[in-house]
Amino acid sequence: MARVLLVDDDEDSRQVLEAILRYEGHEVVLAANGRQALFVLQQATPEPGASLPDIVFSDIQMPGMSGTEFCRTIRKDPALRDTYVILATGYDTPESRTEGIASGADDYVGKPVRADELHARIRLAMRVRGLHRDVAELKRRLAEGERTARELEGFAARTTKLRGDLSEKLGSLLDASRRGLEEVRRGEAKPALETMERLAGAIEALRASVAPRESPNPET
Amino acid sequence: MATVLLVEDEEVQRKVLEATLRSGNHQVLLSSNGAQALVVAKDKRPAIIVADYNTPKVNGAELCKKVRADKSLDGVYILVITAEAGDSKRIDSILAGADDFLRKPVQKDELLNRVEIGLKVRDLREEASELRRKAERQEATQEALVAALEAAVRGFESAAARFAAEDPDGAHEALRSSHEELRLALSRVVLPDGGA
Repeated sequence: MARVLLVDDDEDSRQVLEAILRYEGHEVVLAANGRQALFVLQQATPEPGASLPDIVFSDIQMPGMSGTEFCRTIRKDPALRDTYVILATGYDTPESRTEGIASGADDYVGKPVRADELHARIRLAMRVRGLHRDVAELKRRLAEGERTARELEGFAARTTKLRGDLSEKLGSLLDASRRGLEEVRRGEAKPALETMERLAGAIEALRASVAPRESPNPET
Repeated sequence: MATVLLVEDEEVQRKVLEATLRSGNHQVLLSSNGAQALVVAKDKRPAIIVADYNTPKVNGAELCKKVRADKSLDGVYILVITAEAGDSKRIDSILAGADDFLRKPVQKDELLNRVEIGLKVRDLREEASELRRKAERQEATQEALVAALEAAVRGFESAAARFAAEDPDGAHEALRSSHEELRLALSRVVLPDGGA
């Protein structure tokens, strides 16, 4: 169900349309002309999300500020330009029917407004709003994913370098261990012992370099 | 301009609607019933289906249901033309599968306006689907990379342990295999600029 800002200067029309919208389960906020509707929207914007109407359903011909003027005004306002607007247009000529779209409305319903048409347009509006929300959320997820990808790329590069360093160290240790073995075979016990000690030291250093860091003791 | 599939069993009405759609610079595909329309839709992938609600064989409601059940037709916008609209319950049943409806007799500008609005919605759907595919691909490659990095770290730990156990060849082997996993994972990473 939607929160609809209903804008109409004619009290009878307003009451009928309000009744139709409420019957369908929508929440309705009322305004008598474009200027009042603009005020309602501007008052709602400082509170993020919750109190903004999902849809504005407005008559075109109203004193003060017409539906088309209202539409053009909110399209210029960065805080309000994404508001979904349906205009109730005249139904006599193609020009009067398309006047709403020309002024920047998202959709229109010809007058006299029929309940089934209004219901269909509001249903379509809610689908479109859902799609806009999906697109915004997916863009946010992708931007976050791009940041994570860069972090992972950095981490992978560091890991590759670490692998290179370790491979080099292991290579020299492997050579040293073979040298030590040869020295033992040749009966050169002292150099062999020295080599093995150096090897043991290098192994410890290697273990320390790859061992996970100890987490800080919370008591210290 | 878009490709519109028009489904209408009455020949005169079909010709009138076709001419209207062509006057809006749309490419028009024709079907006289829902069953035929489904075959054409799968083959030609129209952006919009404009369907009479009461067509023989497969009617408008059944056509909507079949289109929505077909993954290959995801995102297609369906505008139903109906003679008897009625209460919101009936409209709900129409709009369960369709996106919008138009009442007969169809005004020329009204049809073109509703098609234009439909095209905007269809573009938005396409954008959302493309973004969703991108996000899913991105998440899958990142999960694979994280798993490979974890395996690489385990490989380093295993190499250090084998070396400490005086098994340098085993240590080398552990490093070699962890390096291979990492190389594979990096080759699958898709970064925004296309680099890996």
